[in-house]
Amino acid sequence: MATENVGIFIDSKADLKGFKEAETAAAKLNKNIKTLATSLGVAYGTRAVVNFGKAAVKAFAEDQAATIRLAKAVDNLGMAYANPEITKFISGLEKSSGIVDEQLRPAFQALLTTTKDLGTSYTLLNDAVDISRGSGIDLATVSQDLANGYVGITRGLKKYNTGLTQAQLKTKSFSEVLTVLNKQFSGASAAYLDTYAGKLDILTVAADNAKESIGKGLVDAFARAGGGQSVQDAVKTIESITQAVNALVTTVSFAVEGLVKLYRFFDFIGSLGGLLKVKPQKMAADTTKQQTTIAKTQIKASTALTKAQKTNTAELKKQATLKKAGTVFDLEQIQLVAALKGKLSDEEKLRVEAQLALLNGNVDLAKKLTDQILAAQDSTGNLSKFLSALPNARNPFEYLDAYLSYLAGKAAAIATGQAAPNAPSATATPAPMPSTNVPSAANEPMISYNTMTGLSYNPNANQPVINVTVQGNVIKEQELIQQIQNGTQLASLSGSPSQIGRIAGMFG
Amino acid sequence: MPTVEISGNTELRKALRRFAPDLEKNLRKEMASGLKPVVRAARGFVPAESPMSGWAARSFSEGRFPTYNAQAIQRGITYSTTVSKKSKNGFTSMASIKNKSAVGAIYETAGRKNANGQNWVGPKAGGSGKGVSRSNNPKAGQQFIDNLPPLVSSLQGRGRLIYRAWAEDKGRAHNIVMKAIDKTISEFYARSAAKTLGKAA
Repeated sequence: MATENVGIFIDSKADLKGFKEAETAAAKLNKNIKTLATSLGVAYGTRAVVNFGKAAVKAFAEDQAATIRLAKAVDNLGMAYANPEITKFISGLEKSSGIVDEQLRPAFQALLTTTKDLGTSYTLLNDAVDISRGSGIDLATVSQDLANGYVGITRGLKKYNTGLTQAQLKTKSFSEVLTVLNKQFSGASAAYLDTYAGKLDILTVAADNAKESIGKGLVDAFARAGGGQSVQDAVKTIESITQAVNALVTTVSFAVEGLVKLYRFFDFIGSLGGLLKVKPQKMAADTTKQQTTIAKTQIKASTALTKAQKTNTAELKKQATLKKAGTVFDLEQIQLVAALKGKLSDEEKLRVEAQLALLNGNVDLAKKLTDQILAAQDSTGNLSKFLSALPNARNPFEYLDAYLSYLAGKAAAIATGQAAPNAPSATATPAPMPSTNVPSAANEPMISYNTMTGLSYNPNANQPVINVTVQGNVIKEQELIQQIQNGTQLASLSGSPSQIGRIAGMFG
Repeated sequence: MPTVEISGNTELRKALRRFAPDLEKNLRKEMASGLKPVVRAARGFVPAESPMSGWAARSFSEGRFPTYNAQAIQRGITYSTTVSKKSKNGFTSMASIKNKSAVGAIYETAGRKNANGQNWVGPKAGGSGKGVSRSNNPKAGQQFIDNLPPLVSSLQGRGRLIYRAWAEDKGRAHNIVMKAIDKTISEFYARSAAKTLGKAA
């Protein structure tokens, strides 16, 4: 069951895409028809003439180039005298075979350069025309195959289906092969010319020749108009004329437009109203297209920028995360943070915070905290005063002077018999230490560190006292030993279970 | 300054999906919030039992006329926030509420076209036209419609389930949906003017 209409459709809109396309296509068609209709009046004639003029000039130029090419080849063969005759032959053959001279000349050139004989080339070209018509293969190929066959290369002749094998083609002379070919294709050209297509070809040749003739005339005329004699001068003149004609047509079209507006005002030519919309429509379409292109470019650029910004932000975030992770796993910082969480005195806390600040590279905070620590150590300022008032370092060997003088005096006394001088006395006393608020160091007991065992031993520490209380009457050492032996014996005889852990080396 | 102009539902949603997927997602969410209550109410209008004993489901039936099934009707009443396919008249919609099941459509619309049932031609009449009643009972259509609740008119049409729910909603859902669409379009154009649109990956 069709349930298409059983529903509530919200914000329904006509999707006119298809209709719009059809409308646009119809408008375009209408516009084209009008353009064509407009052109038919004035422009088409001019345009056709100009186009025909261009084509004629081009045909003449090509024909002239082919003629010169062949003439040059004939000159090079030392047969320059034969050029008029060749031209006449080509012209005659063109008319009789319905093949344009642009095809005949290269074919003849190929044969002449190979055979180097005019008569043979004429004959072969005639044969080639027949073979080409009979086989359907183009004249240039046939001529080249015949030229190759003339010099013994008969491989290309196989495609004409003469009935000769490759070996026969090789063994037979060219004249024999040509006889076979002529026998097969003789009269093909004449027969072809009897057909409708052949007659059309003859007409084409005639038209082509006419075009070339007209082209020659136009070239001469335009070249003269352009102030020269070459084809290039003629082409320039034609282009100039074309532009002038186009400008004229445009001007005329504007004039017509004005007239149409005027006529429309009088409501005389309502049917020509569509002409007025052609130009604005095109302009609007161009503007829309341009705007769309700009919008697309901007959207593309915006997308690229957003992408780059996103990438940059992501990278920064990544780096920040890594740094944070590195901070989290910095053991030294962990220890410091843990220490801060513990019970610390104010001064200790300051020290830890200062170290933490130094680790994190916070110079200002570290300096501030360090100053606080120093102030806390010496709030009276006496320590710094004492340090600044300290005298210069004394000579540690000062006493040697007095001692040596004493020894010298004593030696002199021995020698002279006089009384010995008094011994020097060390009376220098160091300056007393000032009182500060720095706590005095605790009277640490002497600690020895055994590098072999890693254990510390403090000989000043109190010796541990082990008291063993034994049930019974134990006064002497012997009695203690006896008690232990009895206990051990009793335990072994009682059969109480015992366990031995061999791996751990335990017994119990 | 280039401007972006979008015409048509399909084009709008396509543009939203490509350049502002968050807006499109939000639009669907907001539209759904308006449509859900209507669907819920419409499902609530489906009677649990068949209005006629002869329409109720039976163990064996050779007929092609669907038997009454409340669950099937309820399942078939749904909403959609995607753009509908183009209708034969060339229209598309931004959101819709549908009664998809065949039995639901019958319950919804029976009597809407022919208030007294289709013209009776009887079982022996020739032809294969579907617009006529071929029942043995000449009054089958009339009796069927009489046993159903009356049709309720709404601005979207007449019916017994979704149209009734739409009528009783009194335009609230429509208002929510249209506001959501307008808001999304405005935001989209604003972003377009500010060149902050980003193509979705």
